[in-house]
Amino acid sequence: MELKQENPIWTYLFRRKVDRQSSIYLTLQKVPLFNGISNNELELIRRKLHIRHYRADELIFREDEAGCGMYIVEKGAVRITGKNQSGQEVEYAILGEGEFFGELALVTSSPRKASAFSTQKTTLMGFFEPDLQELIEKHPHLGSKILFQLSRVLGSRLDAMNNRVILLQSQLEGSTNADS
Amino acid sequence: MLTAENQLSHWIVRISYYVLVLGITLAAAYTISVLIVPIVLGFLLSYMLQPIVNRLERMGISRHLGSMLVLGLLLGTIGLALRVSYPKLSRQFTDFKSHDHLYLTMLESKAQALASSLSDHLPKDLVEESYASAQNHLIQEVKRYKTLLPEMLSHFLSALIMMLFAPVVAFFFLAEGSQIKKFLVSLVPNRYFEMSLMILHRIDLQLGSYLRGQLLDCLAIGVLAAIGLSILNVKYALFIGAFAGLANVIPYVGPVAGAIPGMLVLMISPNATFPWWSVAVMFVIIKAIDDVFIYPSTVGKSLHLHPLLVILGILAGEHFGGVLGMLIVIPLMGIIKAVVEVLHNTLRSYRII
Repeated sequence: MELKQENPIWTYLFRRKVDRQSSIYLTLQKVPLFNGISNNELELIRRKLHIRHYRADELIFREDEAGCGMYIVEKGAVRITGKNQSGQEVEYAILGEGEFFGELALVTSSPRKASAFSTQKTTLMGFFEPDLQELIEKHPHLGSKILFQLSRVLGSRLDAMNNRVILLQSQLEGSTNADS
Repeated sequence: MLTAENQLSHWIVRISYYVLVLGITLAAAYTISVLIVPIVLGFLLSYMLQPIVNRLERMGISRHLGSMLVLGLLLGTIGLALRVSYPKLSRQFTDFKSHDHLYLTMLESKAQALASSLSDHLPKDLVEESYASAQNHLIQEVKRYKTLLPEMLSHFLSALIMMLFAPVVAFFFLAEGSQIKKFLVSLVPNRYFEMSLMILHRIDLQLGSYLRGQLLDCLAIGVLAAIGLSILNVKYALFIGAFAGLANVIPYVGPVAGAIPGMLVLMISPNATFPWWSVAVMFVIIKAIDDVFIYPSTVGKSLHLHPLLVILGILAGEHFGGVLGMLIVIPLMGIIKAVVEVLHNTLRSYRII
């Protein structure tokens, strides 16, 4: 009762919305793609995001399907899986709050490389190619910042992939040397 | 667990809710159907003006203000143009109305002369029969338009009020377009929402470039025809130019149909400076300019319809809706083709078909 007297009525009317927005800002600030982006710019991105709610074990997208963007986990968790050479489903990763996936689809038109499922009740924020294109067209400064961060993320992925290829190559060479 | 009584009341509430939603939807659909013309016009207008509002937004002007500015400027320009050209347009219109009997008799005498010269080379019966049927057809058409004209004028005021609604619709599509799209996509189930987003985006792109291209092309043809006809001293150059621009929407038939009124006017003008065929030559030149310079940079290959499809479409359009049907059918086919193409490609890429 005391609390109600301290705060004007409008704080109760708008509190839910404000809380929700600040929760989205907090999640967005954790995403490397939006590093170095001001709060005003984050607001522009927030307006473009698609908030989707998933039940536990619900399919988000399937491997080999077309895709047009990335998802950020706001609440809950997501399991990323793929098929190995023998066609069996293999778990690649479990992603939690603030983590993101599917960002490759923002810039390529190739099909999804893995499947994604929610492991519990999950809320995701979708950011898609049309939204990115609109941001680039209407707010080129912000668009170029996102593109720069996106190329950084993709560059680091490429780097990690290169390292793995080199490691696998050396392992392969080692095993062929041992055989001979 | 719900008791039987609770379950019954649960169902009653549910059914009442669905009946209410259905009722509201039907009422909304009925209201929209009454206002369908201004809504479609507003929608098209918003597509045309979108790039300008986007540019203003890039310059830091908010979308609402930008939409208001652009629409205000457009309406102001149209108003000013009408204000300036109204005396001339109204003079041309009253002049045409007061001379229509004279034109008809002159046209008839020209046609008779043509028929008699044709009967020297063709069987007489055939020429007479064709002439009589053409005359009947022409009289019927003239009668139809003479009754149609006052009717159209009497509806003009209500049509004007309806048309004023179009910029309001255009404003909301311009200012809130992406929010409307986002809302529509939010209604789609999780499994199909990404695909729906992509479909909407691609349709938006295709339609935008097609409609903007068509409008620019028609505008260019209209202006060129009006200038050319003025140079050739053809009466009612503005009207005929506007008609030629509009007719340009119809491929193949449009450019020919656009040239005919100009040729007829020169044919029946007693003191014409140029022969009637000079209009045909001018339209051939305009068509060449359009094909080489204007069309490739406006409509381009954005939506290529097969010629056979176009001809069948024009015939079907004429059958169902006369001249208006012919005008609407090609853009409509363009829209349908864009939607089907995008749907097909996207559904395939999502492995749904």
